[in-house]
Amino acid sequence: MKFKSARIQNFKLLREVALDFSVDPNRPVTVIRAENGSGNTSTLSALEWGLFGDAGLDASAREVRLSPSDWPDGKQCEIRVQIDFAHTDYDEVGGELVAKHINYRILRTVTETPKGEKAFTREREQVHLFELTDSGSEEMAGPEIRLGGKLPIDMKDVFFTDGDRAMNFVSPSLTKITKQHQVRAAIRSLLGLSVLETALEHIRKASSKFNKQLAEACGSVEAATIHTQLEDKRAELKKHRDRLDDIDKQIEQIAKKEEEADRKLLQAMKGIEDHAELAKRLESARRQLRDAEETEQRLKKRHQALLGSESMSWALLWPKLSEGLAVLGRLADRGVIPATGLPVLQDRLELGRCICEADLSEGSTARNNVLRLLETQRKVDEEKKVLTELYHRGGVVVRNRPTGDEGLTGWLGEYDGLARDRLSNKKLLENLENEIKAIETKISAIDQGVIEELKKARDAYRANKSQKEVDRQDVEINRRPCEAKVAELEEKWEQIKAANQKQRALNNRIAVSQDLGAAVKNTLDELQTVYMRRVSDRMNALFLQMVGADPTVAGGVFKLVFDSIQWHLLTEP
Amino acid sequence: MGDAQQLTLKVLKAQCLALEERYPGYRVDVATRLRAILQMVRQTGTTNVRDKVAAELQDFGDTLCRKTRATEPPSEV
Repeated sequence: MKFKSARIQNFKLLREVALDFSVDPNRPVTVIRAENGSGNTSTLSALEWGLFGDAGLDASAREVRLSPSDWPDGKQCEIRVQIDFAHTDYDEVGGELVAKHINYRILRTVTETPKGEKAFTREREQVHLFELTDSGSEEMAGPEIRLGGKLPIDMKDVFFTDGDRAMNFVSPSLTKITKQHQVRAAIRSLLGLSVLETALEHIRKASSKFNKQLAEACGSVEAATIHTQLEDKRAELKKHRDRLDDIDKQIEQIAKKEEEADRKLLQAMKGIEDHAELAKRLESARRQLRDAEETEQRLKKRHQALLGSESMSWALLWPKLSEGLAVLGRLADRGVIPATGLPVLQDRLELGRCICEADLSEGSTARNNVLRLLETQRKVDEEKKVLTELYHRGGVVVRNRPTGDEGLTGWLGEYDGLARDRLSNKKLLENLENEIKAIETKISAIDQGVIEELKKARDAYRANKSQKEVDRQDVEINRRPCEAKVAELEEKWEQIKAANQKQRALNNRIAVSQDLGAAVKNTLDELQTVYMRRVSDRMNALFLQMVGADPTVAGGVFKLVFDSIQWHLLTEP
Repeated sequence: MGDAQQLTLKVLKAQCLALEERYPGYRVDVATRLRAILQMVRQTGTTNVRDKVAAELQDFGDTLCRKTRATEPPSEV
């Protein structure tokens, strides 16, 4: 089947879209590219719906409306998908199969009435299939059956996919067995194997009926006995085979569950691996935190020392000290310091005469004035003494220090550097504390209990599978002698048939049913081995081409299908 | 019938060819009968398929019986 064009109306995001697919055999790919949310997936869904109806949609998509989400409530919306495609049919003409390339058009419509955001009513969908000719079109009866013959629904999951689902197909989210099942079902459907299997079953039943008629017609006890024994043994053998098929199916189901449980366990175990990694990271973060805390302590001490240091005092006091020393220097220049008045006044009192010749004898006014002056001068001289000492000592100290500006800049520079170091270390501490908290949260989220449960579930499936394999062996042990007995009885029955050639009509009925049965059986065997592999390889190549995947990675998807089928056939009785 | 089912038919016809030695034309007869049976099975609307398949085989056997009788030399009395 080759798509030629499609027209989609009122389907989800698509109001009116016309697509022309490439029909050039040298350029057999049509790429539909559009921004996210603009209707790529809607286009794919529309094509699936157009071909398969509701069955073509995912289960979840069937529950939601097909009409555009902005379609007014209460107003009928006709959804239409029309697909033109070419298909090669084969007709038998004079015993030869002649290929006919026919153009078809499928038109699927449905009317939907939205009632609120999610509610809607949908009428029964209509589907029409037309054969397109140069002179027009002719509607064909039984469109669904005809379409099913050209593109069975089993093909949908394998051939209709989008990027996400294609990646899922090569990713572990689908189990290998599920993938194999999908592909095997698609190939079986494509080749029409179920039709052959059903036909074979009917032919065998008819053959059995004819054999019974022959046994009755022979009229001998031996023929009746052999036939009865043969039928009984065949029935027994069929039971064994059915039981083996049933066990195989159970094993496959259990293996699927085991694989799923194992996948979940691995996922959870990945948490354990992460746990080790997280523990390592936690240890490292805690070590870094300890280092940062020690650094913080060192910086704190440096900070305290810097605040109590002489350099800080000098840096802060230097301007005032300089100013004070300058004042004292000026006082010294003017002779205010050191003090000189007190010894002179003392001498004058002892002489009893002032330098102004005034009498300084006891009780005189001038003496009393000099005494008061002496008292005042004594206090001033004390202050001058202190100032003088300050002047001389301060001068010595200041002269031995670096200049004021350099001292201040040095201290400030050191303080600034320290402040930056402390700020940076504080940020590091915060970050480490947050990291530790985050790692601890992650570690606590890993539930060891869940892992144990998953392990138990996986082991239970494994044990169950082993038990089924033992059961299978038991059935197999019983099947082999039964099969040998059937072969023995069949030989005897053939002899009876040969001895009763008069029952020609019955013998011929048996012969043709055996011949037709053998033709169908051999065809099934050949298709399931040689041709299944060819189809699988072709699908594999197409799929890899479609997803642009690495053949060494995804190649196993389809190869495994074949391996699985081979295994099934080899173990088939 | 599509390409894949055409493949199935091709394999079926090859199997029919192996039955040719029974008598001339048997291959075509088997193919015709098989096609009829597959048609019955494929058509979902067909009822009582098992009996119809048995009837088809019975008719084929009886037809074969008549054909082989017609080609045999007359038996001596």
